[in-house]
Amino acid sequence: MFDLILNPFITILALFYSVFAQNIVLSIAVFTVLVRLATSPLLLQQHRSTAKMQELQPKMKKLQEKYKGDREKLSQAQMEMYREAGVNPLGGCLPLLVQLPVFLAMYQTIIHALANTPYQLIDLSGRILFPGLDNIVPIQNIWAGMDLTLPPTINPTYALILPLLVMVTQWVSYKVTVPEMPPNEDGTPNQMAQTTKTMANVMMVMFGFFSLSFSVGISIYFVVSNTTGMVQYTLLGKADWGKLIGKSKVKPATITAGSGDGKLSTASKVKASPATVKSGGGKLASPTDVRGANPLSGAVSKTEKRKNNKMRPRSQTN
Amino acid sequence: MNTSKPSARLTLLTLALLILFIGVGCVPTRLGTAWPSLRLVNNNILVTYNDRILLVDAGTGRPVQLTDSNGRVRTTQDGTPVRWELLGQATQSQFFASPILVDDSSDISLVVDYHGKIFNANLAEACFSTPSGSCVDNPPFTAIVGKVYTEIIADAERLYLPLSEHDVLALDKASLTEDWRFKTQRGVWSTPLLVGENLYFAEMGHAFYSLNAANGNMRWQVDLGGAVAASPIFYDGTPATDYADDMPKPTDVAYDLDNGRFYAGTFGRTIVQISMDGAIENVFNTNDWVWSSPKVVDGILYTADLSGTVYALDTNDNLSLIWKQDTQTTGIRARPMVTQDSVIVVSQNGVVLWLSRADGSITLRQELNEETLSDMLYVPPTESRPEGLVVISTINPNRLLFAFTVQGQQVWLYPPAS
Repeated sequence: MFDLILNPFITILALFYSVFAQNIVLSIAVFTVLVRLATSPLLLQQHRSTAKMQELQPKMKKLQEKYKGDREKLSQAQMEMYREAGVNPLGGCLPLLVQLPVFLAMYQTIIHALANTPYQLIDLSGRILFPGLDNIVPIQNIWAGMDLTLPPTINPTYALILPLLVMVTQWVSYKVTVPEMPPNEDGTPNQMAQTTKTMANVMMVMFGFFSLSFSVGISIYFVVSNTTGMVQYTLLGKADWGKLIGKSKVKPATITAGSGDGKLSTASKVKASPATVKSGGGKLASPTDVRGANPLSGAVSKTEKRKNNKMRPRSQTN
Repeated sequence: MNTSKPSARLTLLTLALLILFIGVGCVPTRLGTAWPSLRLVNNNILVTYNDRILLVDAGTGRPVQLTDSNGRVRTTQDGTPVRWELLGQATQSQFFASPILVDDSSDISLVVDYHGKIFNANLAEACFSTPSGSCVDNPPFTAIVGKVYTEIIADAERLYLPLSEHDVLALDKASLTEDWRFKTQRGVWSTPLLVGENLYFAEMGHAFYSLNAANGNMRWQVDLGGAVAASPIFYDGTPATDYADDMPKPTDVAYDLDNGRFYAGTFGRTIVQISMDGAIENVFNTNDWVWSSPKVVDGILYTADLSGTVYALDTNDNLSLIWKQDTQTTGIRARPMVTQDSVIVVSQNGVVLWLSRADGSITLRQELNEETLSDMLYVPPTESRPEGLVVISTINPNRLLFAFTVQGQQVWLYPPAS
């Protein structure tokens, strides 16, 4: 099953290598960009799905409050909510799951194509599906004085710039492409947002470590892939470059003064309209846009929440 | 609302994708470098593989034990016999090239490791040594730049080292100083040939070269149209005298240079016949990459490719096809062995086949169930063992060597089952 993905990939990379004057770095870059472009519809679908799910978060919280302790009913209510909203709860994961094997195959393609020892070359044999491409084997794996099959630590010192580039592009990519979570209604930091921030750092360190351990060829793939991802998100209008300089599209929560009911609201400068709250009524208004906005913000006051909690039977709070 | 069906579907889909994900992500990547090399030394098999060089008794398949000057087996303090083995842990080495004797009257050899370190080893004592032969724990070494995957070759004066990066390097055998260095495009993965006063070798960058062995000056080069990873062979029409699988000896054979030809298999899916002055005379197209040295016996060239097809070609008739046999196995990397009636081949997945020399039909099949990439070794008969042996090496150190009679009966396995 694996060969069904890997062998065509290796063949395409070999074809690019043949077309681009046997420049393997250019071939890797072009192939990576094309693969990222080919998976764009999935990326878009994933992004839409994530946005829809975010839109439903307030409703979800409300359901969780309502059915606390009754998982079966909660589950039913959730499914009903998804059905009404036309959302697939796994819609954000499935495109990601489809993309992962493709990206892993890219990674394996580079390792296989840059075969540098007899064992590796034996593994490569039979994977190039066009007979005419055999004469480009073995692929030239020296580029800019670096052996692309070896880790940066075994290459000239300047090769260490690649892990740095991988870390920077990885961090920036994660930072600008993962949507920022607005703070909680009570003004406390959103736990998801905290996790996202931690993940950005963890991913950066992790990929930096990978780049130090893996071959230089893989580092080039990481850099091109991260950069392409950022460009894609930017072109789709989904990248939040402001986050890099602390000017996120998502505004922190502010306490609306003067309403007299202690309501909280989350404003959103770009795209997201602030949720409309009818004064005094506590009614919910439909959100006009989903990105980064919390349509329920300001809807439930702290006082009301406390009241609700007090009214809830103790047995249901488990 | 009934959610069980969509949930089940989603679960199944997720599972399928996860399996695909794991399948792609966990594809095995080889950690090793190359495969074992076998040589026959005084009726013992010298096995060079990864971190060790060891001797195995060709007759019994048991490890050769070290003896003292009185011929008694040496033992450790607890009475365990000491095996003949050179271990690379001491020098942090991997070995794929057999040791080369400095001169025939001495037990001192030169051992070249994968990373291009050249050590002295005392073969009588099975130890790394100083150049004078004294065993030492931290042996001195000469370092060259380049990796050595394959057998090296030597004549009375020089060592010729094929380096996987770019060069063929000639070192003075006594001083290990550089006599000359010849740069190729993509490196040499196969053993050069010494024929007369010239060195012949093919490189991964498609070229086949002839150099003056004394000074490294190029006589000619020719483009073979594909990478060459297996050693080309020289054939001058001399009838076969035995089934020995060794390559032509450097200078002790009187070649008929007027009738000589070189034959090489390429990754361009061809077998190429090259004349002594560097002209391509004939090309035969194969199904897949050729990574095994051909074997020519009585004018017929036997070769195999990585699709598992075996070919018999007529060298006296422009490499015309006599027969071919699709063995329905994985690729064949090892050089075919030719006996009186059979062509013996072993596939990458360890299937050993005896094919009729007459028409290529398969007459016997044995399965090793181990990955097999090394060339086979022919062990001639002795007084006590009237039949010659075919020794096959796998990459599994726990089932490293299999010995069969030329008729196909298994004789021993090394290491022996406990």
